[in-house]
Amino acid sequence: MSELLDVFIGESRENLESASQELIEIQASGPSSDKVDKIFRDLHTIKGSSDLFDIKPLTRLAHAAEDLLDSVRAKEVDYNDEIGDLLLEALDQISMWFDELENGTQNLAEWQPISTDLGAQLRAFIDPSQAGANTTEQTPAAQANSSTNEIVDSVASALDAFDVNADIALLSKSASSDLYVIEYTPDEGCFFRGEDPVNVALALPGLRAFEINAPAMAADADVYQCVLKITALGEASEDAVVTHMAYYEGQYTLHKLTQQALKYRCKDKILDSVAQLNDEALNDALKTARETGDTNTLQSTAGLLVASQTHAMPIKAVLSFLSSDIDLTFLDDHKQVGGPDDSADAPASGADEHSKEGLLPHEKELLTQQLALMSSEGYSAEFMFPSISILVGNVLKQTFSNEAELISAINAALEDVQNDIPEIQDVVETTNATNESETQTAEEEASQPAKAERQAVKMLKVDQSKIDYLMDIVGELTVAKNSLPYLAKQAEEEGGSKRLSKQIKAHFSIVNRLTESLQSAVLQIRMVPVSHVFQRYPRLVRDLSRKLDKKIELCMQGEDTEFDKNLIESLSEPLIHLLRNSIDHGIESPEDRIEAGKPETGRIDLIATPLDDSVIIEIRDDGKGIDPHKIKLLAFQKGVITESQLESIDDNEALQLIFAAGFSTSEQVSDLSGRGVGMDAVKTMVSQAGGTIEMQSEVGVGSTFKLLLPQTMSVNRVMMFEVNDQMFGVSMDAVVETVKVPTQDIQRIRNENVLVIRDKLIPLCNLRDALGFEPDGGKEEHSILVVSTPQGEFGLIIDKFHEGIDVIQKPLEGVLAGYSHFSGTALLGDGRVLLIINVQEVLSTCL
Amino acid sequence: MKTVMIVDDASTVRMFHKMLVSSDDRVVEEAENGVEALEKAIGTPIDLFLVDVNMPKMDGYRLCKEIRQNELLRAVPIIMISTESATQDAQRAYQCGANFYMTKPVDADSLKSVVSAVLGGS
Repeated sequence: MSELLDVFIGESRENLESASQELIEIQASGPSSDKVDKIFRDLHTIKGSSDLFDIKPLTRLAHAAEDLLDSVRAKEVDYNDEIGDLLLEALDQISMWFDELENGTQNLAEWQPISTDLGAQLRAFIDPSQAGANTTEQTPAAQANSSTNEIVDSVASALDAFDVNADIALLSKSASSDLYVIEYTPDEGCFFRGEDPVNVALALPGLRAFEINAPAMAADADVYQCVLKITALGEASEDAVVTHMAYYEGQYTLHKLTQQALKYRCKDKILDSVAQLNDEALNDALKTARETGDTNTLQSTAGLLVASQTHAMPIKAVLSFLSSDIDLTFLDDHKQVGGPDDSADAPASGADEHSKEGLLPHEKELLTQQLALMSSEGYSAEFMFPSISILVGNVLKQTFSNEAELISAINAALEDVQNDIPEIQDVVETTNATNESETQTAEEEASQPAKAERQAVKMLKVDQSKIDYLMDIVGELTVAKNSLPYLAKQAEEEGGSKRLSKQIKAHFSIVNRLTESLQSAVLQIRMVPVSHVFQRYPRLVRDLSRKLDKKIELCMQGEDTEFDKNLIESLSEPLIHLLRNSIDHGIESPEDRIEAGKPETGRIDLIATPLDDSVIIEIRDDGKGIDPHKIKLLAFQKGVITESQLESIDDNEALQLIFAAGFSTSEQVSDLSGRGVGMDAVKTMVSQAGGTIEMQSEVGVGSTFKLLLPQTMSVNRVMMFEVNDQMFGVSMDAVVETVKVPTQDIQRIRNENVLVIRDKLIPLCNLRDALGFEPDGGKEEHSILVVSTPQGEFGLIIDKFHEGIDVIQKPLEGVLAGYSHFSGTALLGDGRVLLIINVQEVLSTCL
Repeated sequence: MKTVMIVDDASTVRMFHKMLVSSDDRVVEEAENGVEALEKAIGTPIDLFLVDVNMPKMDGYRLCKEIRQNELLRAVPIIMISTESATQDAQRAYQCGANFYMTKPVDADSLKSVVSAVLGGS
């Protein structure tokens, strides 16, 4: 029970979140049927699932909300903000109940009056009279009438996308009633979510034909945006298609197709092919052969057709008839069991005999494939035709062991098509009638979309701890794999076997590649779009701006950008803080804005942009901006900077001071953003996630916070070095350069060791001292690792540089956790533990 | 007499395929990679290529393209045999000029019959 409840709550929370997101959007941009529909479905799902549990107040409230939305959807009730607020309230209430359910603290008796009250308020918007019920009954009927033509047109236009080929012609002959045409327009950002629309279409159940339409792209078009339009035709039940497309709801239209509609659509093509076949000079010979049966005057038809390398059409036509328009049962059923060899032994002759011959499945497959190649987009006759013609010629010659048979087969095909013509004409004549009945069925199908879509929710949910565990194992594998080069070295040095060493290295490269793919695959699993976090913000902005009587529009971009789930979650807090900051301090009150000549409504942009392995998140407001001089003065007053710095730092540096510890621009702590979390806390959280933050601002124009974050947090590159014969590591991101300097170049200023590199003064810290090792005097040359910190660049005096390696950093645990000098440990390939130093902490004790 | 060229970097696979396609009226040529295949094809008229995808030096896709652009070889049918069963791999093979695509490990009977069909009689 509890497991089921967990699943229900998890799923419903997603529904709630998506519903409230849509509601917010409606409040911003007005209602659209899509959005109302979406909210309706979300609530419908919650209501439906809650029925499984005995939580009647929740079910009833969800039901009331669903009914109201249904009325809005049916245009019986006009949507207004009041409805929106009430719905949001209902969603909040449900969400709170979910909290209680999760904690096991629910008290259904308390819920009851709330449910009744909110439910009544919701229902108050719905006209309860009988007249209302009548209109609901009428509406679908009216819709059916008005949309009849629309549906015919939409099916026709969907079918237009196809070059009617063998497969489609074949379908028109099949007895199946489950035919569909789907128009799938993948979401523009689908590539960023790692979707592969073409593959989705290719995997459609019972797929028979499929076309991709990619519009010509402008030179400056965004190549990462998906602009494809895919139309596919297949044979499968509607349910199966809807299930398959579950993830792409809203991105496709599904049409049901009848034989008549398909035949009608194909008629021109079939007639065309016949005409073309008749017209082709080459096929005159074929016709003569058909009429006279005189094989001596003609070459093997196959050979003849094959010989015409200039034009693909004859062979295509023959193939197309062979594989489709000929009654395929004849090809399958009448094939002699023994295969082509038998037929060669007992060659059949004359038209009557041909029915004993036919294509074997693999031959048919070969031919069908050649046909597909010739029909495929980008088919180049020069490139492919020669081999296709030889292949087809071979297959045909073999199967129809004498020409007469082949000719008969083609005859039959032609006749078959000719016979089809009156039938097709019949279809043409009766089209109007059939169209009508067909659209009715289509309409019936269409009237139950909710049902179909409901069952489309299908997702594999995995406990995050399992993925984390998998990641851990991958991490260990990475380490284990690193031991191979050591082994190779050992084999060479101790075992003296160069060959073995080489083999180990060869294996290492394989294992290395596999590990890397495995690692990136696991990292991919952990990736979720930032919308995961972003979608909470419209609500936040709306609530806060209402509280402050400000008008603010939140524009989000790049919500599809993907991020490691842990990272995203650690980001949620700092982003909220930055948003609050922009709302509270950035955007002015409407009056001030009008006075400043700005639009009354302020605008906050939240933009995520992928950049290599990182993601940039920008929070941009068009508010009053920050004056760097004020910041400088404040920083000086608060003792963050010294008097000399007051004069020396430039405006940009001054702006970054707001991230310094002990600095807050707000003189009085506000209810909203002054929650004791300063910008320094934001900065700390961002750097813990391995990112950086900077701020740009222009007085009167606005401020921008720019966060640069790694896309994944799992693998770190560290630089290894040696102090007192022990290995240490330092994050590669911090390393600026490595230098070796003679001892006399190290100068002492105010009792501190410093080094001048390119006219820049670099304070030095001897790691031997800082880490508590014995001093190592009398060295003529020092190795210095220059690292960058927020306080500037510093030099660490070490003993020896080593290479950089990729490691999985683990936090210090137990007793070691107290040693702030180290940020973590990593295991080296040879089993040694690498301590990774925390540069900031080490420097603070050293200087 | 028809000549089949088997191009695969794994000698076991070549041996297996050779066993399957050999007959009295067929000669089998072998090559370890695309480059070798093209070199050997210069002197010998080839009637069918059986091509693996993943090979050193020149992979199967490249080889297909090279064959299709080669005046002497362009008409020779190509059967591509790959470990990849994904649709896009097959599509890529076809785009590169393969006439047929089969997935490893091939079913012995299918390979035999497909080869017979393509060569026109066994």
